[in-house]
Amino acid sequence: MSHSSPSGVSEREIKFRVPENRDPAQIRDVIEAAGFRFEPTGTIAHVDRYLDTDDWDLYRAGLALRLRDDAGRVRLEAKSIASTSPDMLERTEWSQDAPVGDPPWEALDPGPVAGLLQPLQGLRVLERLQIRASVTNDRECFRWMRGDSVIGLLTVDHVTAPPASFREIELELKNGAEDALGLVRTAVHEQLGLEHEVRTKLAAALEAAGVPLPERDERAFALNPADRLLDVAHKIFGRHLGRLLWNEPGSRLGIDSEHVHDMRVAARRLRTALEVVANGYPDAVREDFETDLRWIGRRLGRVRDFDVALDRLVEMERDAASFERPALRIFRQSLEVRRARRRLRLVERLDSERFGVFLVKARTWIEAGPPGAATVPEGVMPAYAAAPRIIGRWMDATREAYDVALRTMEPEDLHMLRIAAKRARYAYEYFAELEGPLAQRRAKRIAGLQDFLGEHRDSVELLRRMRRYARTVPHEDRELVLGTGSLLGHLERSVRMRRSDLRDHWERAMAEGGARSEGCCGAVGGAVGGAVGGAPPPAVRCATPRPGSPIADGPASARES
Amino acid sequence: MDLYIVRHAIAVERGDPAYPWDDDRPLTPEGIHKFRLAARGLEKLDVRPDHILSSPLIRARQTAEILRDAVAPELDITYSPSLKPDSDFGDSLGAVAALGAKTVAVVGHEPHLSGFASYLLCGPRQSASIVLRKGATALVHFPAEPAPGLGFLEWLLQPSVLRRIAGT
Repeated sequence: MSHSSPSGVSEREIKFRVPENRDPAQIRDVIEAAGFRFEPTGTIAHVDRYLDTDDWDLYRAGLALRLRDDAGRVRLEAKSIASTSPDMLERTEWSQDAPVGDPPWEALDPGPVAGLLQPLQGLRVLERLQIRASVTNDRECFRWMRGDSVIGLLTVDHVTAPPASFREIELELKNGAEDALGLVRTAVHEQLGLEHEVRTKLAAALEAAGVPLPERDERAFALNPADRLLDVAHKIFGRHLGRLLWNEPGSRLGIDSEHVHDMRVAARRLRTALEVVANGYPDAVREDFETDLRWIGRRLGRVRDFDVALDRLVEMERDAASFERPALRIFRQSLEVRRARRRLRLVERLDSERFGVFLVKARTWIEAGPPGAATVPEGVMPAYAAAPRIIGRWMDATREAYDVALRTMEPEDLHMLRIAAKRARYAYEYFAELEGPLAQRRAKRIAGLQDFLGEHRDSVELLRRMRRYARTVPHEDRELVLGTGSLLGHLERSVRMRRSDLRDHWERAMAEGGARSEGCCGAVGGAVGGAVGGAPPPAVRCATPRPGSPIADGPASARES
Repeated sequence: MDLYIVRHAIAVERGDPAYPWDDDRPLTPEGIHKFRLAARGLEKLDVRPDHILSSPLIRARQTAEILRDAVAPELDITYSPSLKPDSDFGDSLGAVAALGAKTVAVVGHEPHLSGFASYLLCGPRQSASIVLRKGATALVHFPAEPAPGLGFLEWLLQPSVLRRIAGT
């Protein structure tokens, strides 16, 4: 789900790469046979120079930025890279007059692109921009007609991206005619066997120039069987720190909510690793990083909560009765305004000195390699030997949390179970490469439980927010009063969880044995909690290792969040 | 020709750092609530435009949509850069005249709209002092084709009055 700046213009198009042995006119003919016609409007030529930083901040944030020279008039154009639709290219564009001279620039004049890029200022993106690729496009333009109505534009592009050149046909929809792109896609596929092209011109230009697009490389953090616990702890930290950094530009920019999600998950996995694999980290490192990760994770979480709520409202709107829709839209607008404020606070935090210091310390710690055995005496244990105990411990804590939640069915206890399940799942995932596919499967099943509980939690939060909004609805507006009341009713029903549903999801998560670490009495050794973690150990009891069996007593020690 | 001049409803404050590009400022929920009621007041006054012409800025678009839903749900809204805050009054009038309609509602911004209203009433050389609060509407009537200085101010209603009309 994407969330774009409102000043962006939505573009819906479909394009085909024309094979070398084919005449573009053949494709036009096929489209015309599908019920359309074209009127030539002339030719234009433009040169696009694509801009990005040396480490591809914009590309990683999901944005292509270019200077388009159109017969001497130069515009600065930004376009989202990912399509929000699988059936066409549905992207958002922002445009304003270009600054004088080539990048880098110190600042931009106020405008849609400047507003869009503002949250990236803390990364000094403008000062680091450089020209990464150049594309020349000689374009033949046609009006795209259905009957007497103009529904869009067809262009035949002769693209030169040295040393390569290619031809593309693009059809851009302008006015309604929602079905037209689908008809064209089907006709061209059926008659000519051509699939619609999803690669951007930037990607094509870079490919032609032999410049690889950036990819996250985690090979250095792959586990191997000889790893000690401290090696694994170091690698987990390196891997998730990389993911956190990778997603920072996108989290700032905010055109795709997945970046905030991924950055938040990375922060959460880093923090959970400090707890779950506590004996692999020096005490000072744990204490130092834990507070900073909580601090930044909380801000990410606050934006993410709104993203999730807004996605849920979009879903609700699909099924809403007409009298509910106005209330739903205004409520959504109120959340959008609040999310914009939360995003601003997130960017302020990412711009802060404290976050900068954290990143320097974290990078330095990773670059220095695993810590010496003297600082982490218990970390020298082989990871394959430590893993079952660690996993077992967190599974036990999850079972205890489940028992409490099943007994009370209180939202807070269900939330605690979700957190405990998350830790257990991460414990499996941290060691999955050593523990094998069974551990991965178990992690996936626990994720199912976590998702179920997460959706419940999201509904509880949405209901709380909607109740707050309902208090602001003017009594004179009967339509809104009725709509809000009805929506509250839907949400109240959705937060009622049946005990049997929880039990079903739990049993699914615990089903079919699987990982060798699961039985706490066998490989794990039930009473080792205190020796494994720095956090207060759960009171592990050695129950019969029966899948799905909750351990009835002992404190729900997973209750730190 | 009748021209309804509608100022956009209450939006997020100018300079709010969460909206670094001014064009992106949306209506606040309070602004939406209030203008929904004001638009119902317009509906009670039999305001029925043949066309709604709006500035493309988000706060004006949202206001135009609420107006449309209340008074003429079947209409499409036309967005024109000639109603942006810094537009030339002549261009704004040209965009209205080009529609060739009997009744048009324009949705835009201050101070452009009060300047535009003055231009319609007094022409380019003189000026009338007009106050349009957020969500206010004025009706300017032209006995013939719309032209600068040839309009008559039929009424100007601030949003609180429109809301009161809605409640009667």
